[in-house]
Amino acid sequence: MPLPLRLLVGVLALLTAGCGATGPPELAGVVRTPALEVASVRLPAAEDGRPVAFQADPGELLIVYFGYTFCPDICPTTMGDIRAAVADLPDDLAERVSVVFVTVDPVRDTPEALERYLGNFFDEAVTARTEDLDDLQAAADAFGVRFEIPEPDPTTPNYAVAHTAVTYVVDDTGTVVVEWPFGFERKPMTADLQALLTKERL
Amino acid sequence: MSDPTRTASRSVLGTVLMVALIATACGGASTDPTDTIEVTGAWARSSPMMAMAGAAYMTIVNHGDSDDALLAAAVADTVAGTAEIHETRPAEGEPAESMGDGGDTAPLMEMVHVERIDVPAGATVVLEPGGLHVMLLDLVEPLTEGAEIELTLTFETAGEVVVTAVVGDGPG
Repeated sequence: MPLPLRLLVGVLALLTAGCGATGPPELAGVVRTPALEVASVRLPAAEDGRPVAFQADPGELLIVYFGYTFCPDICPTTMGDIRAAVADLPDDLAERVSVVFVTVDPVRDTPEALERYLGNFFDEAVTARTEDLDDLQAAADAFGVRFEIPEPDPTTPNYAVAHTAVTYVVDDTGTVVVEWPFGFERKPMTADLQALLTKERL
Repeated sequence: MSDPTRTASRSVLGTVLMVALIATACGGASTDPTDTIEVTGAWARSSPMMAMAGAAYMTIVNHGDSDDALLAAAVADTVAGTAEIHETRPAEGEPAESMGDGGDTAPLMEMVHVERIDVPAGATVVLEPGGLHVMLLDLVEPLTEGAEIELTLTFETAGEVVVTAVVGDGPG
């Protein structure tokens, strides 16, 4: 769908949200059929190595993004949009949303770098980091994330890591309930989160 | 107001609106509109603590009758080690759309150094998140909200144009 159309869909979703509609919430983002199940994915937390589960706490939502701190353009743009989208939620809903950032650049993204980077956007965000690229690939595969770390080259310390730039929203069963491609507007993000957090099941 | 302005710029219509908005609202970050090359709405995203790289965005208007091109960008060494013109784009062979409706084909996004950004006569080129940007490498210190950084842009014909980019979450 072209971006302008997406905008329109987003605006429509926003306008119709809260109109007392019954049934599953209409979401502005991409809803995959069948839905991705990521409950079994585990990666170590950057901070202390404890396993991070890709499953929200009961009644909550988990926002998952694969990126890297050296990325100056799309990653901070997305993080900024997510921060703004969550901030626009009523407080009682915002506190039911958590964020996990998975680094696709574990060599340069030290635990300290990740903590400082995410701390710029969120008071509390979990960062997942593994230097075992097979484990990272397995986690990425579960989400349909692709990334390409270039071959080490001492002459280009400022290398870029190509990666897909999709934001995933996971519910308390470990199901990816909606995906936001890069450039997705913050307002329909907020509308999607609100719809998901206020539907009857939660 | 900064976010709607920035996000609107991701559509063609939004770009036109943004240019109009910036032209009226952001005189402080613009070059002289009587010059052949006018740069408006220059901004740099506030950088996370300890981030090594930052990005600056702007709108370039060529009021002249001949084509021009942005060839290079420079920044004071008190701000960053170097500045380069980069583009974030889908890697070769990847779908141009950000994502299909089925959700299964999001493009692999790569960031590449570009040699030049063509600014044809009468054209407006927008440097915006997810596309063209001036990448600031080896930041000396974090870019903090409200700070102003001076960028020297080198154009093929117009020569050097100095713009002030305001650090924040969007233009203006």
